[in-house]
This record gives sequence, structure tokens and C-alpha cells, in this order.
Amino acid sequence: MKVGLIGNPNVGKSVIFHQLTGVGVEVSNYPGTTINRQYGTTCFQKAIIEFIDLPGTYSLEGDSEEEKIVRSFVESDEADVIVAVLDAGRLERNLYLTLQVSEYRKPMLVILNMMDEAEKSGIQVDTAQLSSILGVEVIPTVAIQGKNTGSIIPAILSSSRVPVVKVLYDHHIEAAIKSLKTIHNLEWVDAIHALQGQAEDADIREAATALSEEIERMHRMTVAQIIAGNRHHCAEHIANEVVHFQSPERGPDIDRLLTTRIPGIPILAAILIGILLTVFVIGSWLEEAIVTLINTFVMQPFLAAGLPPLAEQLGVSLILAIQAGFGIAFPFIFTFYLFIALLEDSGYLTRAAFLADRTLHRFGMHGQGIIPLVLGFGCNVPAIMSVKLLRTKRERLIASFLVTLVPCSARTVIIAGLVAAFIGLAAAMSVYLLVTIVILATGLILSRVTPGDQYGMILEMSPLRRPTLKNVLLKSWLRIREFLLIAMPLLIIASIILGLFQYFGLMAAFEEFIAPFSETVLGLPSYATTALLFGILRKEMALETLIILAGTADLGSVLTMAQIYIFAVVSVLFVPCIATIAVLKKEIGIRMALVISAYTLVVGLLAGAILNILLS
Amino acid sequence: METTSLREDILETLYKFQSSGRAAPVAEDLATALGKEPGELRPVLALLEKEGDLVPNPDGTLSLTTSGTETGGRVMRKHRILECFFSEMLGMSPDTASEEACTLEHGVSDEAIERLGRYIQGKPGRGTGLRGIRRGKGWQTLTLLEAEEGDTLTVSCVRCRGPGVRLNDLGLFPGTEVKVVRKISGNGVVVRVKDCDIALSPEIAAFVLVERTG
Repeated sequence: MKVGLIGNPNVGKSVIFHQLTGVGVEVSNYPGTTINRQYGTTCFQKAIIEFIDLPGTYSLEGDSEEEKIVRSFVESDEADVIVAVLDAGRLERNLYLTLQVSEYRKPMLVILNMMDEAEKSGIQVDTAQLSSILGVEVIPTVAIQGKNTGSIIPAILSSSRVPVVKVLYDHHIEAAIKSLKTIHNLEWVDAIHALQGQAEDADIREAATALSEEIERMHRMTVAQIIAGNRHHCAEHIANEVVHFQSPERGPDIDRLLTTRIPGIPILAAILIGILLTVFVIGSWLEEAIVTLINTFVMQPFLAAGLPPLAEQLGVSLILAIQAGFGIAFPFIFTFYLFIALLEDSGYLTRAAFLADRTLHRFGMHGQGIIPLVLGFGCNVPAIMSVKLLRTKRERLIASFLVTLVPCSARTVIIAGLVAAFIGLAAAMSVYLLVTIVILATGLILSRVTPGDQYGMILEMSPLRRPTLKNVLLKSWLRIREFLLIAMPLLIIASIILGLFQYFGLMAAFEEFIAPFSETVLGLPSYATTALLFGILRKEMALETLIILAGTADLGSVLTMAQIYIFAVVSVLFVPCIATIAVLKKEIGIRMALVISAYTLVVGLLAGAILNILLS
Repeated sequence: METTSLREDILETLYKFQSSGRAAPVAEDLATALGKEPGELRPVLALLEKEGDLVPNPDGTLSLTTSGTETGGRVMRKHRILECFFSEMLGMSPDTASEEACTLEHGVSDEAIERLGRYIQGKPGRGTGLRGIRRGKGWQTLTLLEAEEGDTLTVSCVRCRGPGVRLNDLGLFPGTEVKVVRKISGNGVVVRVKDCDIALSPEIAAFVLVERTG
């Protein structure tokens, strides 16, 4: 049995999915967490039920990514039961989608989630009456606390029904649907889609266009507007019947602080800088502890074992890879994800998007662009995947470009472990400043040269909520798990290849080849340039390789301060890591992925060369 | 019915004379302007005088009273809005547009003309013939971007097709009541629609026309 979860963004579908299946799904307090379908299976009284968590959407009839995914799912007959998840506090708006789904006349169940928040704002919903109007079972829940979620599966099995509710459409629309149905032998839902210009068949599309043009002439409104209006009126009517308002508990208006220019923007800046500094400090401290621990208890005993040289080289490479993986994953990325999870769950991120809207317009994006940019500080890969929530190709392109330049945790390791450790904190901050300038300049240029339309922000503001520790930890864990799964194998393979190269002396040959360029242009010894190249595999490997090739962890004794600084800047700026290039290719195509890589290569080398001239 | 039209036509013509600063007409001038025989007008003029819409001057010319001016002005405005609609939006020739307007101006309700006027005003780059009328009182149509924080407004028109679909889905379509929750100058706005807060970029907010309701 297959069950699909459908609902508006941010109504708690993912929490319910998680409760029903135990499969870890990321849950956020901002719209658009689930971009692809998520599958999870559970077993109840010998029945196997597969749940499908669909992206949150406001409508089934549009051409955005999530609308297409959900529409094709509903049309495909894949689901035996459709579960509509509604936010009880925003019933009227949520019913709009439910009414659309119920037009498919498939067995349904309605979950009225977030009953606690609704009650707090003085809203009482008569679930029995709602159930009788819609003609399907309505289950009130507070999913985040697990309240009443236990009765969902039994209800799916025993009492999912085909809804009876019907939207009354304008009589011109009804007449047009009827004529399309009889002449072209269409289903009701296909007819209403055809009327809005969504028909595969050319003949039908032509007939529907003629009809809708006639209606538009009569109403001076688009057909989509009339249909939306009819559905909203129906939703309003139902909501008026079943929602009873009481005097709400009024808390202090925190939003007044968060979404005004003063103090909203200083608060936003303080939060972002505070997070980066905290991650930087906690991360460096933890990393040192982890590296020392592995050195003392794994590396040294291993070296003391006296294995044959090849085996020893391979073993050392493996240990180094694991050390590097844990050394950045937990201290930097996990700490960062904890803060991001806090920001997301509190609902602050949507406020940040609102505040940043104006600034981001200058860079050819809009407020929502702040989400990928902030995520980029953790790891570029999920950040680029989140670029999907921007609506136009132009915005996605600009955002991907800029995200690639954002110093991720791995690059933070280089800045912390190299510049902060050997030169000082101020120098480390100056690297960030330099990167910020590069990002801003790139954004300004891109917003002028990138073709395509700009599409402003239409973003629902998430209600402010107190984040729960459990959800924050769970989400950070899921993300770090994903990171480890993607990054660790790559790290290990790359490390072993590097070890083998070194063992067979290939490295020396390459160094000889690169030496003239390296020494004259960047002012770096040739082994440092080799290390830079390894940074393409995983950014922080540039640092580890440098240590291995230099033969000492005390880099201050073999490199000058200027060389350390140049090395750090070049490795932070130039060519994204392999995983980032791969995800860029997937999201915006191979050509743009190559353009971005080439651009970063040029910028990185240019910055290095200029610094070399200035510092020497 | 026939007399009503004629009465309104007379008041309108008198209003035109009066507002253009020309000398007050005598009954014969009126008849020429309306393309009628003076004999046809006499009974109607008497009726208008009796109802207090116009006063004959000692020299035989006719002047409007306050209530007559008001009616004349209203009919005139209806005429111009209809004429503008027919010629500029439906593409009819100015002459036919004027003729049609002459017939319809007597039957159309105040509300319909009010809405039609607002509709024409909402169209960018059109309605040039309406400059004078646009300034009339009680025409509080503005875009969401121009609204003030705390305003409660009713959406009258969503002008864009692409983003408009998403706005429709969120409940921002003609007739919905919205409240401006937050506004930062130069930045976007946050509006409350159907109990949900929606943040809009300035260029989107500028697409949404609203009316003040309270």
C-alpha cells in the first residue's frame, strides 16, 4: 500500500513522515525543505505501508519544480491513499490545496496538524464538522510532540474515503469544462487543467484555449484567476463554518525587533558573524583535540609496528584520511549545522531573507538567495542543491556561482589551521574579508551580464517557534551523516592515491614540471602547488598534503608568512572541490560548472600572483 | 426613459458650457448642441426648472443650480470613462466610442463606472484621456508598495501573469482583504493574507493594486 503526504510548505509533513516511518528526513522551519520525494516504509499489523513525503506546495497547477513533482504524483495513480496535512492555524489557506487534491477523487485522509499553535492563537477547529463537509476522516495532531500521530496509520487503513466536497465554479468555467469533457472525452480534472493551458494533446489545447479566451474576454480576468478565486471562496466558506475564534494569547511582538531596519539588520549581521566566529573558535579547538588524539593513539602505534614500506604508506594514507574527515566533520561542520538548525527551526531564516531582499537584488537575486549562501558556509554541496528553491534560471546561476565562492567548513580548516595558527587571527579574518570582496564583486558583475528575467520574492514567513533540542540534534546528525557518506570515501581514495604517487616517486616528477610557474608566479615552493592541486579533491586536503609534502607539521619553519598567506588565499579561492563540481554539473549543467571552475581558477591564481608581488 | 436620457443630456451639455467658460447658452443653443428641435426641449427644460436643477436668467440664458451641476458633472464623467474604455481599451474609433458612450452613460450604475474607471487606471500606459478624472475624490487605488504599515486593504487587481499565479494560490487575488504587517522603505513588504504572513519583493508588491477599506 502506498501513501502520499501532501501539504503546503512548512506544515509538518516531514515531522509526520519521520514519526510514521522512523526514516530520517530533514525538517525545517522554512518553506521548501523537501525538494525531492522521500520514501519510507513501515509495517503495521502485517500490512506493509510505503510512505512518500512530497515537497510542500501551494497548488497543483503551476510550473514550479515542486508543483510539477506533486502534480505528476497525484496524476500517476501511484498512491492508494493521499494524506493531506494541514496547518490548523491557517486552515483557510491550507484548504485551497486540499480542495484541489480532492478533485482527483482518490481516497484521502486529512491531518490537522499544529493544533497546539492554533489553540494558542485562539483558533478552535470543529474537526467533526470539517470531516462531514469534506467527506473524509479528519485527525487532529501535534506531530512535533507526537500527539495523536499514533492514530494516523489505523485511520489510513480503515477509514480513508473519497472526498465529497465540491468547489462551485463560475458557470462559464463549468460550461467550458462540460463541453471539453463531452467533445474530447476528458476526465474532469484534465478538462480544468486544459482550460488553464496544461494539455498534452494539441487539438485539446487549441479547443481549450479558444474557450478560455472567450471566458477571459467576458470576465476581464484570467481563467486561472477565476478558478483560484472560486476555490478560495469555497475554502473561505468551509473555514467560516468550522473555525471558531477566541481571544488569542498575545505575546510580545518579537517580529518588530527582527524585521525592521533597526535593529533588524544589525541583529542579522551579529547573528551571522557570531555564528562564524563561534564555529571558528570551537572548531579549531576541537580539531586540535581530535587530531592529537588520533596521532597519539592510532598513528604512532601504527608507525611503531614497523610494517613493510608500501603497506605502511597505505596505512598512513588511510589514517590521515580518517583523521582529516573527523577533524573537519565534527568540529567545523557539525557545529555549524547546529547553529543553522537553530536558525531554521526558530523561523529566523525567513526573516533574514526578507531583510536581505534589497541587498541581494543588487546581486541579481532576491531574499531567498540568502539561504543557499548561508548554507554554503557549512558545505557547498547541500547549499548548491538548495539553489533549486530560487525560481528562475538566472537566479539559480548567480546563486550557484556565489555559493561556490563561499568559504565552506573545509576552507575554514585551511584558514584556521594555516593562517590563524601561523600568522594570527587578524590575518585569518583578512582572508574572509578578501573572499567577501571577491563574492560581492562577482555578484555585481554577474547581475549585469547574466541573461534572463528576475523573479521577485514571494515567501511565506514561518511563524517564530522555539526550536526543540531533539529536532536540532537530529537534523544536524542527518546532515553530517550525509556529509560523511559523500566525503569520507572520496577522502580515503584520494589519500591513498596520493600516498601511492609519493611512494612511486611520481610526485617529484610533477613538482619539477610545475616548479618554474609555482616559484615565479605564486612565490611558492613546487610541493605547495602540488598540495593546492590536491585541494581539488577535498579542500582541506590542500593543508594535509602540504604537511605531508613539507615533511613537517610546523609549516612556519619551512615557509615564510607571505607564502603561507598566499597558499591559504589561493586554495580558498581556486577551483571548487570535486563534489561541488559534480553537484554543479547536476544542477546547472556541465558547461556552467566548467565556467565556474575556470573562473575560480583564474581568480585564485590572479589573487595569488598579485599578493606575491605585493608581499615580496 | 426617453425623458431621463434627455434630461441628463441637457444637464451634461450645460455643464460642458459652464466648465469650458463659454457664455451661458439659450434654449436654441442647447438644441443645436444636442441635435434636437427647440420645441422638443421646452417641456423637459420646464421639468428641470421645476425640480430645481436649472434656473433661467433674465436674458433668456440657462444656468445650472448646485444640484444640476452635480448631476451634469456625474454624467459627463461617466461619458468620458466609457468613451475612454471603448476607444483606448476596446480599440473602437473615437466617434463610435463617443456615440456608444452617449447611449450607455444614462443606464450605467455609479458602482460599475467607479470600477471601470479604476480598472482603466490600473492599466499601465493607457487611459491618457482620463487625466482630469483620475484626480477625483474617493479614488484610493494604490499599489501594495505604496501602502503604509498597518493599513488594511482590499486587493483590486493583480497585474502580472507569471508571479500572479503564485499570488493567486496564496490568496492574493481581487477581493481579498490584506493587512500590511511590515514595510521597510526601499525594501519589500510583509502582508497578512488569510492569517499567513507573506513577504514580497518590491517589484512584486508593485504589481498588486489595492483599495483602502479602513
